[in-house]
Amino acid sequence: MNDDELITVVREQRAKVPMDTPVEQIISRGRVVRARRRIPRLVAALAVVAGAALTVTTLAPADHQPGAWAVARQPDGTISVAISEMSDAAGLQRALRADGVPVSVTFSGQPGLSCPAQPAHGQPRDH
Amino acid sequence: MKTQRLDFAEFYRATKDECLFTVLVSVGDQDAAQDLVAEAFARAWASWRTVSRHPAPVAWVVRTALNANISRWRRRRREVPVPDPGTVADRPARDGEVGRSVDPWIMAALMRLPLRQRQVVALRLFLDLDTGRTATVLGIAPGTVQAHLGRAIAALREDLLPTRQQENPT
Repeated sequence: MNDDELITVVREQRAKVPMDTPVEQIISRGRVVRARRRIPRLVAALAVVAGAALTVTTLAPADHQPGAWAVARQPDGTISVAISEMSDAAGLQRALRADGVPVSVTFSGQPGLSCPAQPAHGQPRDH
Repeated sequence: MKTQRLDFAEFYRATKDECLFTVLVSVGDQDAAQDLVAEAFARAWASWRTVSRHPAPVAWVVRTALNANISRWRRRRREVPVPDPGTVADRPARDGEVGRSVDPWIMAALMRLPLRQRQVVALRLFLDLDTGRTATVLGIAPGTVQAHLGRAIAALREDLLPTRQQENPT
């Protein structure tokens, strides 16, 4: 018997130990595996949604008109303000001061807001 | 979804026996091998979209089963006992399987090989993977695969040929 014949004889053994688990049982177990994988993803998605809701609630006061302006803290610590409609200046001012920016907000043609002193940041500035 | 299931079922039917034997030769215990391969196929089904595009899905299944065996061993913190190879060879044949039981001499000779040589033999001869794919699955160099295979065949020849020549004196 040469090496090729030896290899053939050894190879023949692989068909002699049958795997007898039904495919339905494999798929049923696969469904459990897949469901377990989805749980962490669902938790992560809910955490993102909850975080987004918290951010909106924190930055936008209750009387804020949606879409008039937006305040967002950037990853580098700066705060960006986007104004699409000049309304609710008082809400914008409260939102910025709540984020530690001592500002007084007025829009042209609208009555100015009072500008109380900011204890932690000195005199407020007009913007 | 139905197509996905059919593809997987066909893959399972065509490869399950060689996957089982490959893992059996590596772990040495038929019940453990069957559990490991079943779990690996279940994980393959759960990720079938990815696994079906793998260059060698059968290698993915075997690698997953062998990794699961390592994890199982780490959990137990002790060596997984390797049974007498006769426990595989001497299992009673089921209906319609007369003459299909494993040759006890060959199984014993395989189990006497060092683990790495057994794994190389299993992947190269039982799973028909090429040298490069075998090297990838085992995380070793292709030249090492060839060296292990050469040593394993030499050891099998030395172990089996005298026995088989005694059985067939002509």
